[in-house]
Amino acid sequence: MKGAIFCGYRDYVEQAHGIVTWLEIIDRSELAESSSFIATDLYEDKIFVELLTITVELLDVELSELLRAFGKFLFPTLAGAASHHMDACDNVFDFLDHVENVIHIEVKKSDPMAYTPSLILDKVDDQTLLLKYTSHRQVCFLAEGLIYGAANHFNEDVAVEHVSCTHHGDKHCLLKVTTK
Amino acid sequence: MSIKSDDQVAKLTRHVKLLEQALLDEREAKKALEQKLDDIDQHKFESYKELISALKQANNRQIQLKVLSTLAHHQAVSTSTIEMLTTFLVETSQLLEGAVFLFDYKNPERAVCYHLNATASKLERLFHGRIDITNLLDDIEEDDSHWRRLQSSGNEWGKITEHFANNYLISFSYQPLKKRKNLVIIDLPHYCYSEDVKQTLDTAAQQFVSALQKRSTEEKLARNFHQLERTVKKLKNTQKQLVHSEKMASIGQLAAGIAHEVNNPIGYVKSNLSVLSEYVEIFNKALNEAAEHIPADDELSFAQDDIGELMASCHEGIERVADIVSGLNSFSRKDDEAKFSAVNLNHVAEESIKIAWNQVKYNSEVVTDFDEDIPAIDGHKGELQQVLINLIVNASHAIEENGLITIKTWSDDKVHISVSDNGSGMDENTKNKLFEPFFTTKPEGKGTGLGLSISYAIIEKHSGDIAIESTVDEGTQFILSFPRK
Repeated sequence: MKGAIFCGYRDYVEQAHGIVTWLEIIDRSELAESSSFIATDLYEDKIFVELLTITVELLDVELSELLRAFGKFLFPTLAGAASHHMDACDNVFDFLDHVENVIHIEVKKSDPMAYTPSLILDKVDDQTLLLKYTSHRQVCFLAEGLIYGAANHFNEDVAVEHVSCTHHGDKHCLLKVTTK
Repeated sequence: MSIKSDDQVAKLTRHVKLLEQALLDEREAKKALEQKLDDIDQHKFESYKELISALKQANNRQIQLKVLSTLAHHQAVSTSTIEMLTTFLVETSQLLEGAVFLFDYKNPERAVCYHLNATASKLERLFHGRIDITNLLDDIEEDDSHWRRLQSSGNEWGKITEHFANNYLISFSYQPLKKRKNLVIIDLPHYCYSEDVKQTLDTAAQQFVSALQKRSTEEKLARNFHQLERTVKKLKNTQKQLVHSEKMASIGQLAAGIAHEVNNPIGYVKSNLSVLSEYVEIFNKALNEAAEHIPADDELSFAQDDIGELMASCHEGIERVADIVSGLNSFSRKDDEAKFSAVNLNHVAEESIKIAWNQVKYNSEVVTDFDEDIPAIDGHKGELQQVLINLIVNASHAIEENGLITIKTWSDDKVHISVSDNGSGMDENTKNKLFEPFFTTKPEGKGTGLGLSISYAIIEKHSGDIAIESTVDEGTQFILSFPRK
């Protein structure tokens, strides 16, 4: 996973819960080697999973709540980096149609040969969007958070449902996004 | 103490502030560096971009090609269209991870439905009977061999609906045969497939349809070819038959001419011979009476002795010639249908066996296999008997010992009787000349060679056919077929 996400997460934790919480999380982590991540580097996904798990325990919050909040926080940063993609979109479904170009380019920039997951969507109707996320990385939760962030950006209220998930042994994650 | 600690707190606070500032500066510096790195990466990425997208495209193409070539291979090696169809459906189902439904129909109200699970490799009948898919078809756009998304427009699709687990359906229809249609529906967990997969799917479907069409064209061509072959064979047979009947007709005319020409001289030679015999007797009587006055003459007495024998031999000879002429007459006469009546071939056969029995009993056994229900034919019992006796006797002549002559009757749109033996059989040459007058395989003087030609004429007169199956050293079968009365 791109270091920028880790930096974003650090900024989020520091802003919402203070630098000490962040340092506490890093201290408890067995995988993170330092409290500082380099935005342009790539890090293992499992480190992020661990940081999230520790945060959930430490702050006693729901993972989905955490992701929703983090997504909201991170989205403007990512959106800023890909503003030329963002200009073409005025709603969350349109944005999701372009999201692959944004995320994957960020990863490919750091390592042109890096594996990028496939993200394929299908607009079932005006209110429902199905999103198939095929990846051997298990970071669908981040996608979930970012969708919330995107919705926030476009002033929309969405519900994201994991129809199938690699965490439950499925071949791919299927996210159902419904606008309210 | 408190002043000191206040100072310390102020000092520590100042330290923390400075450290925080330092941290912020470091962070800013790191950010600036990262931005620089990112710019470099971005720049690098730009130069790689085309290469990467070409690589990605190549990878996708490779997967696509793999699926298509697997399908193409299966289509080439499949022995039947059903095998081709199954492979296509299995591959598609595995590619999409969906369950396949196949509807086969001429009339949409009576479609047969098959089902294939994502994990199965064989199509299975889904319902016991046929189902009505009219409503389902109403929701499907016209078939153009493309996969289409299928959504109900509010129509009730009937009992098939309960078998759709996900309600994300795609359909594809094609026409395997002129009057039959197939509809394929795949029940999918979602519609989220990349453009490449969709394209592969479409190409695979089109490839399948053209392979299917090619295969059915081939099958059609093969059928036409067989039909042509059959027609050619039939034509050849007809031609052979025509040539044969033409030949037989010419021979018949010739025979009739000869018979007519020879008949007259035979007539007077025969009657003259009778008169001559009487004259000879008168001469003999006179000679006997005047014997005393005639000087002894060896030659005269020899002639007197021999003349009786000569006369008898002449009588016999002329009788034989008369027989042959009468035979030629029966071969050439075709217009004698006045005495026709209903004849049962079983009875004809039974009586013929009785008459021929004396000639065949020494070397053969006669077995009958009669269909008791054969209909009668219109014919002349005596003539038909003549034909059968001729065939039975001929059969026994073809047998040296331990012969078996089988006579069988049966009927379909015609009435048939066959005489078969396990004798010496005939070669092609013999078969071709079999019905020609005076053609015989028997030693000279043993047969006239008229038997089968007369039989042929009789069968012709009865509007019947005669077929011969014969293999050298195995035996011969004559099959006579007559129209029902």
